[in-house]
Amino acid sequence: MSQLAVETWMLSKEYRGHAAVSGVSLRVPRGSVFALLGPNGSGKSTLLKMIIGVTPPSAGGGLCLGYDLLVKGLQIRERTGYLGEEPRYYGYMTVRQILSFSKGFYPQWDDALVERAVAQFELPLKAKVHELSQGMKNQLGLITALAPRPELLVLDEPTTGFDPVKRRFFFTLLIEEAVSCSATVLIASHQLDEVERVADQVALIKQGRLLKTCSMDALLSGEKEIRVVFQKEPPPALLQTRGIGRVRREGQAYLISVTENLEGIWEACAAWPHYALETVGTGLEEIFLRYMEGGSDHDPSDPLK
Amino acid sequence: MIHLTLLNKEILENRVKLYLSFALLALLAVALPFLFEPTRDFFKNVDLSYYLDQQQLNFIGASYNNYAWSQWTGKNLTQMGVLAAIVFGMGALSGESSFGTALFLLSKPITRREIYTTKMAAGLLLLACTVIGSTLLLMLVSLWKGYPLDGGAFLTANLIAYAGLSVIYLGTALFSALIAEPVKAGVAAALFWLLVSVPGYFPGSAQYSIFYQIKAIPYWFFGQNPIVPLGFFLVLAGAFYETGVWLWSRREF
Repeated sequence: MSQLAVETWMLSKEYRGHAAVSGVSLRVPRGSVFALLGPNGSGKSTLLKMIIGVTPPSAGGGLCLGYDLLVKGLQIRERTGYLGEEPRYYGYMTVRQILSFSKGFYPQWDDALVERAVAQFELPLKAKVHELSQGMKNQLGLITALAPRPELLVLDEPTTGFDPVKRRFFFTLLIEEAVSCSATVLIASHQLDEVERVADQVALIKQGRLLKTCSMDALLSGEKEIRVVFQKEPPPALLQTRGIGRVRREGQAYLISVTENLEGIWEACAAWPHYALETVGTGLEEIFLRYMEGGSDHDPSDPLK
Repeated sequence: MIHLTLLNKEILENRVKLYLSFALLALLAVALPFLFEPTRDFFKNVDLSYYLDQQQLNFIGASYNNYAWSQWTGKNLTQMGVLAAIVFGMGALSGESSFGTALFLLSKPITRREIYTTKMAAGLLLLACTVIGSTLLLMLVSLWKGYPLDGGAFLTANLIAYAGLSVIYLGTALFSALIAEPVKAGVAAALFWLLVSVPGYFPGSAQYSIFYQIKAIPYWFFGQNPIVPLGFFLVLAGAFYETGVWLWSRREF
């Protein structure tokens, strides 16, 4: 069995001449919690739909759980739980009917999990789906995605409409269940703090292109920012030292984004007369914003870079 | 090929349409035998020569058999059945698009062909309940009223009608696979069928109208083998079904 749950190569999707996804080569290790991060309209949802075989790609290809996503969509979806962005259900059905309807599509269904999650989310089984809030619909969606005990869980903005308590519980349940059945989780989310807490792999996507993909640890430890206030203007060569991603001015201070060679850049800054020199903590949010505002450092020929 | 869970959902979803269409046809079916004698008297006592020729008047009044066929298969069932087929068909696929549930359904382990086939099976089943059910009701009421009705011939004529209405349903579903709004799909299908009905208005080309065949006129009048219209409808249904699957498989969600 491949060590990868998902592997795509140059996956692309065009809608009437507009490129929604362009040449995405992605590798999602089995058993990982893989976060797909990008602004609205960056192609995340389209990419996820292509991975589960719902949307056919315009070019490129890939494997999902060992199955060709161009022709084996059925086999992929038999082993995959999917929760779409702002899911819509048959409004005339009750919560119980939606659960029963979903159960009818899978050979295995964990009723105990359903019972537990319904109780914890406090979902009213007799309520019509059209009466539910968006948050409750997402909770229902998570339950229907988890109950077949999938090998791969694909979640597209799953916590839209959640309050902080429910959001925390959602991610806790997600991780507990994913770990208990050794599932791979592929999640697109705007909740960067939660993603930072639960994901071990991350991919940044913008305008349909993959900017970076690596482990969360590598991203957080490798992406630093140095704040320095020089006594006099530094030479241009200093700001072009290897590993400097982007330089911004904030008053008298320089904010230098570092992608690698932190020590070398630090020493170069320290060697020039300065009033202040410090590393600024960079969380996932800062890194995300930096990538979304800036350009790409991704080499398509090396998807794991 | 037919997914039972989805089939149940389709029947649940369309139950109100079923109740309404069946109730309407059942009402007409029950009324028909009660109206036989008043109609015959009316034909005798009122000069209808401006509206119907003598041959038609003689035919309708000649026997209950002819009366039942002309008023049921030739009129009520064709008119109401076509409406029911369009109403059942217009939301079959477009309902999933307009209510945004298509992605929820497509993310399940089911192929698009299975979805299409199951939806068509559900629609044909509901149409059968409406058409065949109301026809059987008419036959029962006729029996109860003591009118002589050639059950075999009458049922065969109405089976031909049902086969034709199935084609109307499958053709309408094709528009439903193409257009995301059920009402727009229904209007487009109705316009299409209106266009198709044009040959029926001219004596020279009437036999080429699908509605002429739905009324089972060649079978009832000329003793045509029912296999001929049934085969014709089967070929048309197959063509509409395959085209619908092809269109539905290419829809992006």
